[in-house]
Amino acid sequence: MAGDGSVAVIEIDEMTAEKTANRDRPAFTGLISLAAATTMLLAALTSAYIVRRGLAADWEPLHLPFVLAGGVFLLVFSSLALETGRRAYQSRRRPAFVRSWFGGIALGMVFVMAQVYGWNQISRAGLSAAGSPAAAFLFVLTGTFVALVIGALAALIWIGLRIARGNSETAYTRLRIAAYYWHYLDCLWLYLVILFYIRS
Amino acid sequence: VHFLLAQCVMCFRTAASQQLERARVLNDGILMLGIPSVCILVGFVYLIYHRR
Repeated sequence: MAGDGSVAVIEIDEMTAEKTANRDRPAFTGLISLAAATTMLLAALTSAYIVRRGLAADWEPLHLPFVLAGGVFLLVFSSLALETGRRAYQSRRRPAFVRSWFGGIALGMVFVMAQVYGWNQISRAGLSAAGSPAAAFLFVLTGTFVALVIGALAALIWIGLRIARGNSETAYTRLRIAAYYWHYLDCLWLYLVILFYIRS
Repeated sequence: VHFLLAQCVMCFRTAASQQLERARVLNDGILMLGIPSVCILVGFVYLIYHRR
């Protein structure tokens, strides 16, 4: 009897796993498409940056604000927090999930504020988007990235609140997709920072 | 189609008449646009075949 019961449980588990995999597929295709579009957006801006920097004689390198490199640490720590939250959700520890998830979101918000501080620093040094091409490109590239981060933060907050209120069948898919996109944004920021330090 | 090709020739001639350093910068910019898009295309083709 006990054997019959466990076989049934395994069958149900396999069915749920298959259902989850089928449901996750379009979600992951969506994630990959979004990542591809984001990559091309930044590739286009990088291409313009490289050509503008190389072809004109009026290019003066910037003194890069420290929040640029500091942002890497903020984003990596927020990713770690989100990953901890994801694991906590998977092992059904909801309070731990809420703590880590919203901790990660808070770090993301600090990142946005840090970048705004960095832009202020550049403005206070007397550089404007109209006056200095290097500053203009820094504003455009980091501004685009911050817009992406704000969008991702909105998604993270929405998902976190939904899960904090109650479980739903698709919650884990949403949570994973959002967390993976956030990790992808980390890599993009690291790329931008390296670009600015190598070719400022 | 002809007028489109004419634009290509114009761009090509302008780019070719630049000095070496400037031509290299243009090449970098073109590669920066080309490499990610080719990688993305290859990735999607792979995904489509893999999931069929």
